Amino acid sequence: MSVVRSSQSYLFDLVRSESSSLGMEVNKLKQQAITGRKINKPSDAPASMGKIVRLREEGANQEVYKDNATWAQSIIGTADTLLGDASGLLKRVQEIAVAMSNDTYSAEDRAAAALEIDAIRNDLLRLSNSELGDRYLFAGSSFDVPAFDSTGTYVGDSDEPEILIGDDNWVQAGWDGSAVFQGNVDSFQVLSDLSVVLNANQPANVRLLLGDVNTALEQAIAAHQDVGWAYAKTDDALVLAEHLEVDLTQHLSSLVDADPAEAYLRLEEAQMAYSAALQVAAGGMSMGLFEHI
Amino acid sequence: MSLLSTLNIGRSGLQSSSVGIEVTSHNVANASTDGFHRRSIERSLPASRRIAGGATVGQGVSIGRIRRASDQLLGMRWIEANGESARSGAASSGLSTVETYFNETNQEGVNQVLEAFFDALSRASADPSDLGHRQTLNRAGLNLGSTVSRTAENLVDAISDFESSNESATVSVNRLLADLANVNESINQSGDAIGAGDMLDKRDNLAQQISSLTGATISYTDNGLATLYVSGHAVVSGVEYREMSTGQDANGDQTIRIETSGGFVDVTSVVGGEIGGTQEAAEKATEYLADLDTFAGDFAIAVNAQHALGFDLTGTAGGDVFSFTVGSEARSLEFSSSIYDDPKQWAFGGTATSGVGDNTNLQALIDVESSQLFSSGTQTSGQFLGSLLSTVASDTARASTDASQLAAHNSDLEGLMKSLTSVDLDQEATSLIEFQAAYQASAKVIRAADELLQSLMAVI
Repeated sequence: MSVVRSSQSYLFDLVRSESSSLGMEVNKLKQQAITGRKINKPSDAPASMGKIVRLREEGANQEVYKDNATWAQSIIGTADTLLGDASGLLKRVQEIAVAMSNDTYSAEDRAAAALEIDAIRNDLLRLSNSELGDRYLFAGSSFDVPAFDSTGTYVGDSDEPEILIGDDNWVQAGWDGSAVFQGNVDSFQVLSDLSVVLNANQPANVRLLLGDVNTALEQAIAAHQDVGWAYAKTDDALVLAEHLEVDLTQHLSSLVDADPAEAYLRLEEAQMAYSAALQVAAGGMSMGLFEHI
Repeated sequence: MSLLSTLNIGRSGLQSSSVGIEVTSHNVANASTDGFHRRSIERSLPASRRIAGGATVGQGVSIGRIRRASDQLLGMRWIEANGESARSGAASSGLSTVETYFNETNQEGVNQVLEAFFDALSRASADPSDLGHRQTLNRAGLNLGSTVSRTAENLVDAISDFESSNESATVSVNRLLADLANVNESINQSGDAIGAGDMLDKRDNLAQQISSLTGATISYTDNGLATLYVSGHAVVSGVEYREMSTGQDANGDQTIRIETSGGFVDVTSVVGGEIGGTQEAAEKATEYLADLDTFAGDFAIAVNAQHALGFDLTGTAGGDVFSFTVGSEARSLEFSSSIYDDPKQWAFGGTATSGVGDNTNLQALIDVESSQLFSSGTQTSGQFLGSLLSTVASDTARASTDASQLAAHNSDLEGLMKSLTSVDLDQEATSLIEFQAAYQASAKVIRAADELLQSLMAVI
């Protein structure tokens, strides 16, 4: 604008409004330098607010997914070990059954084998009732009680609990023990039957049970493989959540955080302008013709 | 040469310079007075005297009138710009206050507590029977209810403050309208030059103040009386004025009115100035509150409906997770104290006989987060609250930009106006020297005439 005359009140108003707006700018930059954020209220960046909220939400989700996946990994890892052990036990049962089906073994040999089978059955039962913390792994969703009673009867349920480890990504972290150990064939019953025919020194009947023994081993191996896949799924979910967390944090930081060097330089610049404006104003206001008459 | 005439010429010079010094002193004294327009003396030549031989000789100086520096057109534009600037400034200030209730850049807001609630549900999937997870979920639910409720309460308080502010403002406006009508009357009756000038200063000053409050525009009659219009309705005309007041519409929202002989005219949507800006901030805050009510009501209904489909750790069907009162959903949103006291009541199971780890209904509750419950089935709860935050941010930023631009425009016009009308002390100092010198010179003319008369008298 062009000012025709320079009046005192205009000069004072100008100094007032300019020093006020420069002072506000200095305060705003000070706030950025102190907080380390260039966005200190939503209206600082209205176009980015929706994005910032979404990034924060996604970031918080990844934290949850990481924690859940880590916990799921503990459960699945334990189940993996247990099913590996179960497969090993049933493999041993297969070896004993194949050996004892041979007519060359004596009744004493078969009685000793029966004792080993009984011990394996007990081990398998104890293993199927394993828990992590207070959680029985093979009791389905009734994981607050042991999966099998002492007779080998399943007392859990068929529901298999899942844990959320990603956006709409759930992983099974509890198993229906009746499907794992009694699906195609009841492993505990097979071991009991095997013990009975061994004690009775009946190699022919041992041979008849070989098919069930093989099936019990196969179902344990299949369950072990499924658990292995679940473990791999949690691994993938963890890696994804960690990568996403880093990416989201970087993206959020680029939107919200102030560059310290830039914030400092801009503050210095604004303070110099403010100081210069005040000096010029003070100098200009002290001059006047009345001083000289 | 007429010595007596010379004496008279000297006297007219003395008188003119004396008034000049008086006017200059008045200017200097009012250099900082708000709305003061500098005065200047307008001098004229009296009729000349014809002397022998037909020539004419001047008869000194006479004082014409005291001129008040002004530019009526510029003044009208400034008053208008002042009203617009005040409106945008008040809207910006009001919305900046409202924005603080949604400031999620450095404090917990509704978006964050909603996310924390769903995070806690997701964490519970790790072990639905775990009381620790359930208690964490309880805290998240309680925090969600109280944060939404507190934000809504803050909005209600802000709206109430805005309404109180406008109620007070209308009282001030009415006093100013009465003052302006009185000033109009004084201008009408005044014949005194400097006195009328002071009244005109008061007139324009009052018009500025009324415009600041209401966005009023002004026009002038030929004899200098102000006619003031608010939203096209005359509120001051000559010595008459109409009062402004506040009322309530059918929704209980505040309205701004101009009283008339037959009732009132509703100017809520068109009033300007601080009242209009504050009204705008109140309307925006009311819209935000309505959105928050929509969120609270629909969200609580969706969560409660899903929770009712599940069964808790004792095999009982799920009760309400959130409660609210229809009509003030956000303010009354409250997390269930029953579930808070007994976290086993979270109904995550799918059937009454489910195992403790059954999270069938928990999965469905987590899915509420991605359900498009809002904006005619196009937005999730998070997206809806995110949109609300973006709206608050963009409204506040736009109001702030408008306020800066209109304040700059107003400041330009003010500068232009003041450059024409306000006091420049250097100029007054120069005038003072000029009038002082003229006074001294006129005094010397009188002394010279006196000496000539003395000489003449001595001869006789």
